[in-house]
Amino acid sequence: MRSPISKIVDVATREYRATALTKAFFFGVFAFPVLVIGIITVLVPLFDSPPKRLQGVVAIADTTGPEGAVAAALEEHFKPENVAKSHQERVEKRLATLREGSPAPLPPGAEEQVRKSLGEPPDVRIERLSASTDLKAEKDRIVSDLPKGRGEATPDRRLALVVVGPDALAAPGSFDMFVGRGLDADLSEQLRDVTATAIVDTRLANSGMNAAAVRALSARPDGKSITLTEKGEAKSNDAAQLLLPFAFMMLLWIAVFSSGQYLLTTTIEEKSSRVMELLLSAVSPVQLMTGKIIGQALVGLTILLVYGGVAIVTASQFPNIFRLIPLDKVPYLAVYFFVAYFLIGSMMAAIGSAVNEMREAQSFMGVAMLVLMIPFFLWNLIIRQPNSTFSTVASFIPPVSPFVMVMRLGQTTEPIPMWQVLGSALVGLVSVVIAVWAAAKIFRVGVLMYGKPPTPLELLRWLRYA
Amino acid sequence: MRTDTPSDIAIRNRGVTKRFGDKAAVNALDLDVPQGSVIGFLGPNGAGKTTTIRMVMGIIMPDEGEISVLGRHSAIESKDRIGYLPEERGVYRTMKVGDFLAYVAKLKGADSAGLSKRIDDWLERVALPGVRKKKCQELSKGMQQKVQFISTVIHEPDLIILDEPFSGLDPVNARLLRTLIQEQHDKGRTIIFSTHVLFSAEQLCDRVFMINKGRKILDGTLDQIRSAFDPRTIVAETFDRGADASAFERIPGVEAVTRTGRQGTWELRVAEGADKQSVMAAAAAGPVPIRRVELRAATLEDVFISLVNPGDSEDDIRRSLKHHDEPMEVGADA
Repeated sequence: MRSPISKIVDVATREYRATALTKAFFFGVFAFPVLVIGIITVLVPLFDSPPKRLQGVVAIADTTGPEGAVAAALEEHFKPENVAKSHQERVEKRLATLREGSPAPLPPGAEEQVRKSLGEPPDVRIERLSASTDLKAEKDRIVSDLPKGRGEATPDRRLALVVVGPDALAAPGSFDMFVGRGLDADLSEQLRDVTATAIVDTRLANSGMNAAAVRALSARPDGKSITLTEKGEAKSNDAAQLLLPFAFMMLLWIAVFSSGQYLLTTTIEEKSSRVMELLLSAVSPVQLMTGKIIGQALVGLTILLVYGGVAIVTASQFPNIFRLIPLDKVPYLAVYFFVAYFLIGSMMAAIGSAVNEMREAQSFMGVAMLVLMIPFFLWNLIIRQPNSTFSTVASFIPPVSPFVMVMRLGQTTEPIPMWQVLGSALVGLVSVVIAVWAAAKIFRVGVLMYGKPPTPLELLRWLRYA
Repeated sequence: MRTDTPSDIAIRNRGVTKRFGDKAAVNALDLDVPQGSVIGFLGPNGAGKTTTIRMVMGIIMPDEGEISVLGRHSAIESKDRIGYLPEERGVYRTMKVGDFLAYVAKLKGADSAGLSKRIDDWLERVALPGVRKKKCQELSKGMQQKVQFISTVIHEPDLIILDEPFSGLDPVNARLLRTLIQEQHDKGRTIIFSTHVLFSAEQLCDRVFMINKGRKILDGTLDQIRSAFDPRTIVAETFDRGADASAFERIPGVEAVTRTGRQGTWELRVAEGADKQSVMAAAAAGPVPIRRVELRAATLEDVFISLVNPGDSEDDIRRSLKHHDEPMEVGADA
């Protein structure tokens, strides 16, 4: 006679093969991440092509005064040495931002990547127009200079006509900028921004102030949040602090509920196709249920590995984010996956055994799902206040505890006391034992019950049956 | 206290009772199935046959009583030596036939060596060659039932339990199944099957076990049962196919007259206590010209119907057992 363990292994193997080695699973679970990776590796670099260079001639009709102060400011702005200087400042600023986001030094080639992402510095020549210039002819020139085909930029192409009247110098003021259809929206915005800045600079100069000095003085200071821990100071990253724990919880949620749903479906299928009793002639209900739960746990792990792998591949495209993932917390994810899956899996197996079709299962699932959605509803509060009374208490109440704990462990602002981590895991493991025991009781009675589905009260009564 | 089961007894039930709520589905049931026998397990719908079989299989547990199977105190301990075809049976729809049979065989402890060839041989034997790679859902219902039967015997069990094996089968496949069961019997295997197809039971069984409302009402070999049941049906065939049946109804001692499927042939039910010889003589001398008059031997169907009429109460059944207060047990072990 074959041992009970080998029979459980046989059931688990079939369960895994029947679920994971199917086209439906492949397309449902594998195709989606592959699509995501494909988008990231193929499409993102396409969007990452350097922005178009602002290159050409900008005509300006400046009637603000005899000297044409705005035109002069624009000329100053687009002087090659000034352009190079401001471009370098932008590179430095971007690099500084990246350094702030990651504790480790930036990888070699980071500056080159930043330069590539910013594109080449502008190459713009300002052409002043006299007051008698025919503006209509100038506008026609812009139209005639519209790029043909792909419209490569040339140094002599007429990009825009800027008309600045005397009222522009009175705040808030206005000016007109005529551009051709071919001018990129970003370039147009950049040109408009520079012109507006030139007008403001002119106003400041007219008021006897140094525009550069005023700009420097009015630059808003950058507030850096620094978290103080026992191990010293750590730079905070608000976005990562919020998103990474949520991502951990989502990963757990997707893996647990996908495999739990498969478990429910296959149990109902075995019951409705009347193959259940045949199986029970060869294995006991507990062996059958255990095998099914283990088989679907492997399916869940597969999903976890696939989606986790995708997350890692995706994160590796963004080195500063990748370094923020608390890899030391990953083993906890495995423990809480075990607890969460066996709790949900037992519930799904019990429900699947008690009903005859998916529709009947929905009424049982409704209440359970409402409870399990709590981490979703309150994720923001749990992450922001990981040691609040609610967060702490919820960490000890199965079946929400694994999801809450994963979020608490994923955040970096407040350390979680070790006794809570171990205590929550222990409570989870004890609840797993109780859940599997109860599910086995219901499973034993339910798998051979056909007809009207039981009420929740009847389900509880089944716990008393042999 | 448990009692040891003799080695020549494949299944022994003693005082087995199973209740669902207030209702006893099986009530103090005693049953012995000798090794190597073919037992027909009969009874009306809802009699408790499937519940009994499930308890024997260890799928559900009795509330009271003892069950021993193949010398063990529970079928759970000898599951791999039992082949079971449940009444509620099916297949994995999307699984390939070969994979399904291999999976069930492995669960039942079959050796992997030679299993593939055994599957091919069996599919050939039931006239399903070439379906091994097909999904189960691609097979007709009859074909699926053959596959289910193979899954019952593929691991070469010592004891085969078949719950309504003939239900849904056409005559050709029913005959094939009878042949296959007979083959298993010839190999010395013990077979117990429940059925409503009494013809098949008569063809195959050497013992019959009947229950109603959870209680045993009959247990014995076919010959013993036939001889124990007093035949009370006289068949009368007239020359005149349009003869009036009312002529027979006037014969003293005739309880009821029914027309058979053949024109001009009538069945005369003799009232209990009436003299059959006199009735036969009266029928032969009859009011209409008679071609043939004979006392029909009791068939299993007669026995079944005499014991279990639809709507019968327990008391009715007791009365039909000729004042037997205890379940009728005929033969050596009665």
